[in-house]
Amino acid sequence: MMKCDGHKLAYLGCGIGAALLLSPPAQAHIVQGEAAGFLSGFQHPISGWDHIIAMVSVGLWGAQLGAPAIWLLPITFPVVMAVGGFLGLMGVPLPAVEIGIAMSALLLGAAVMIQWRPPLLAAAALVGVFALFHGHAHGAELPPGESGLLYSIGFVVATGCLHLTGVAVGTVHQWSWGRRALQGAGACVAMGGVYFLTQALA
Amino acid sequence: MKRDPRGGMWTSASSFLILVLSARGAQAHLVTTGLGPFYDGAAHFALTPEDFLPVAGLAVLAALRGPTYGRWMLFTLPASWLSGGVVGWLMRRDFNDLFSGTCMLLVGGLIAADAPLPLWAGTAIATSVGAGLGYLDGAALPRDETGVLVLLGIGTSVFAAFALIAAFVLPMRSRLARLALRVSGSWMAAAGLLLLGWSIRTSFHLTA
Repeated sequence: MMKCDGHKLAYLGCGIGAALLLSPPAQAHIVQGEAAGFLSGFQHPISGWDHIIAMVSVGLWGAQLGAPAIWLLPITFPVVMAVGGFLGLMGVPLPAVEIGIAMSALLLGAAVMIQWRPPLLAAAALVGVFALFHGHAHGAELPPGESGLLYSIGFVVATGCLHLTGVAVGTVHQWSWGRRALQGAGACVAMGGVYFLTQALA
Repeated sequence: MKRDPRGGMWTSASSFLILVLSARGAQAHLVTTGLGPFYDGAAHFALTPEDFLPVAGLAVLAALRGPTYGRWMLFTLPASWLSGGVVGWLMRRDFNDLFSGTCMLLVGGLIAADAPLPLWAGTAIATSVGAGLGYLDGAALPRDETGVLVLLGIGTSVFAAFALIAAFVLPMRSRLARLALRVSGSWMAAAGLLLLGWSIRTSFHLTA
């Protein structure tokens, strides 16, 4: 039953994905100045390594913590990130955004490295706070004319894919060598966070 | 003899691609297929994510709640869409993407929460979404009789899309499938919130 549901989910995803990806060329109401849509949005979260390592480490940490964190954290981050993006789009200021982003990589990497297992709500809250900074940075950086539903979808899908990449890599947690490898990966993410923090403070 | 369901899937996907690639000119907010206004309306719905995604979301929501929900929404959604479309066609006053973003946020959030909605609430939500999006479509239609045919095409597509997606999702009973759908709902809500933010910024000329 699970295998059948998996195939159905894949078909459903491909069908809806095709409808989204194919709509821009035939879309009749493109306003002058609008960007290409889905691909532009998809590229945005992967435009900076500080964003990439933080979002992948959310997936790594979720895989390390196991159910229900393994799916709760990849839900929490995009949703709260969207809240941050909303605030950024509205022009609501958020202090020390770059420092917050760097700290997210540092602390999430450290959490993976030391295999920190806080209560579920605490983990979700921590991820949510960091997501706010990431989202605000993206929302405030949205170029003029860049707009629309497809951009937003591309943005969220890219974020989700990074989380899923982290979760997929994090499944090595089930083996002893995998646990060590994950801790090593967490250390690398944390060091990356330190680097970006020094850049932000400079 | 058991038919391979993948064969039907490939046929549908190929038909969809042919329809997309054969679209020629463009009017404001409409698609021209060259097959007549009814098919222009059908293609418009299929190629407009602002319309398609809330319907897909409502179909998933109905399927998660059960067949009774599906049966009610299957008819109330296109009916309200057509009604809203007629009102929009008569009034011709457009909203902006605020409503589309709000729909996606609401529907995506309900899917993510897997909320045990009472039947009347689910039907009311489908009716409101259908009426609102139908109004937006209707407001953009040409003033002549072709506008009615376009609207009928859109309504038919709404019915077909809802039925197909709900039928596809309804048999999914595994926990993993349900979880995947809820995650997708959360992503839809997130995209809707971003779209809402962009729409507000554009409408009120805010600067980041």
